[in-house]
Amino acid sequence: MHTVPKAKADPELGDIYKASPLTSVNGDAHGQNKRPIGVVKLERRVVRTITRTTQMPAKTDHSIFSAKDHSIGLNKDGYWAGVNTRPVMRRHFADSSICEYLGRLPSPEKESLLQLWNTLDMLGLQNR
Amino acid sequence: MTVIDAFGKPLEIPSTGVFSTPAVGDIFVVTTEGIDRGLVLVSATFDTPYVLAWVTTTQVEEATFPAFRISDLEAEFDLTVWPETEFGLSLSALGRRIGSVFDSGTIHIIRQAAEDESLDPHVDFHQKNDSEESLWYLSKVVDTAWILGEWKWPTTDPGSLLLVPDFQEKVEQSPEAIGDYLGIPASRVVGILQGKILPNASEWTLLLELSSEPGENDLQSISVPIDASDDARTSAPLFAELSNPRFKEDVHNVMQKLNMSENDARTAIWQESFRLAARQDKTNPAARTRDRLTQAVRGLLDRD
Repeated sequence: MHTVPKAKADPELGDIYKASPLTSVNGDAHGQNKRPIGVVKLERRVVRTITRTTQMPAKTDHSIFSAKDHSIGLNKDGYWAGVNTRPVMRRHFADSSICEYLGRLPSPEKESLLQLWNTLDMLGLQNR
Repeated sequence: MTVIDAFGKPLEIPSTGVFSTPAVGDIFVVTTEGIDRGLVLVSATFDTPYVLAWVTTTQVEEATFPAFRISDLEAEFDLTVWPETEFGLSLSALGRRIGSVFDSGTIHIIRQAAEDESLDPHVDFHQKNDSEESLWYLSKVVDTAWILGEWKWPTTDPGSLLLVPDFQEKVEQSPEAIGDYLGIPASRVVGILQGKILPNASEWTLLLELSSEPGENDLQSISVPIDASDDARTSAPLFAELSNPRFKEDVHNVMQKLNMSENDARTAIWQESFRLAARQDKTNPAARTRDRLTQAVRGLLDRD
């Protein structure tokens, strides 16, 4: 059954959307397809997100495992990794054709994702 | 040299620069496949083969705080840097450093300013501006962060994947039997099973056939990216070193000599370095890694 994509214009930390990047230039597996993003920081015009990938990240990457969860459209096991930090325009969250709302990441994965971001932020501030 | 920025505007940049380890505050050209793709300011570095970066463009008055201006009279550039567009960027996508505009303390101030909207006299921030035009410019820069962030080595192409370590257990067949199925010698199968040889596209097709249940066709279930392997030879220093801009010129030389893509050239160097792994000095891991990669590059360039 076809369901209408949902929008949620005011993202909250730990929300999961499927976002549609405009361009793919490197033969990325996702290509033009939408990919899951997790909201990690809210700013006035831009929302900081981390994209979710099903490909195992580098051993050296800052990453966490993400179990599949059909209830929020994550149909395969995957990973959240720091290298996949991406900004999204806040206004795009009101448009389900660009940002389709999937739901809230369940605990404790939500807290782990936010902790991953906090670690990056903290390391960034330390400028190691 | 010219690079096209987020707004489609030509941005004149110095043709020279330094292929160096990135540090916070550096301005780097993003260069892949020998083509300059954009400019970034490095905003955070880690002990990993990626950095966080802020997209950098021609200077535009439509930019809004916390975007800020930088000018370098010597290098003759006037730029706008967009901290809101911070994104993860593979070290392998970095080309030459064309400037170093701020120290880490100033970058810290800019991060703080973005949080609490404070101003600092040392940073030439753009005015606050929430016009539609300003948001349009910001959205173009956000798009650019996604585009530049796509460049990565290793890729998830079949040519950069290793077979999962428990493959033989899964299919319950000897290397000879697998070799018969693939039409290759058992010795090559052993190399593939041990993670020393990267299977080619046709081998992947047959390995997938061999392992799959009817209806299944998922390469990810039998492969692991080379940088995610548990093998000690694919250790962090090796990937960090080979991704480092210091190696960019070597990678380009191999790319041109062997007429292959930049990612394939980097993977070829990585694979060639296997051959050398056994006879390296074990007392100095960092030097060992650099030597191994340098020798691998030399070996590929000397090839007829």
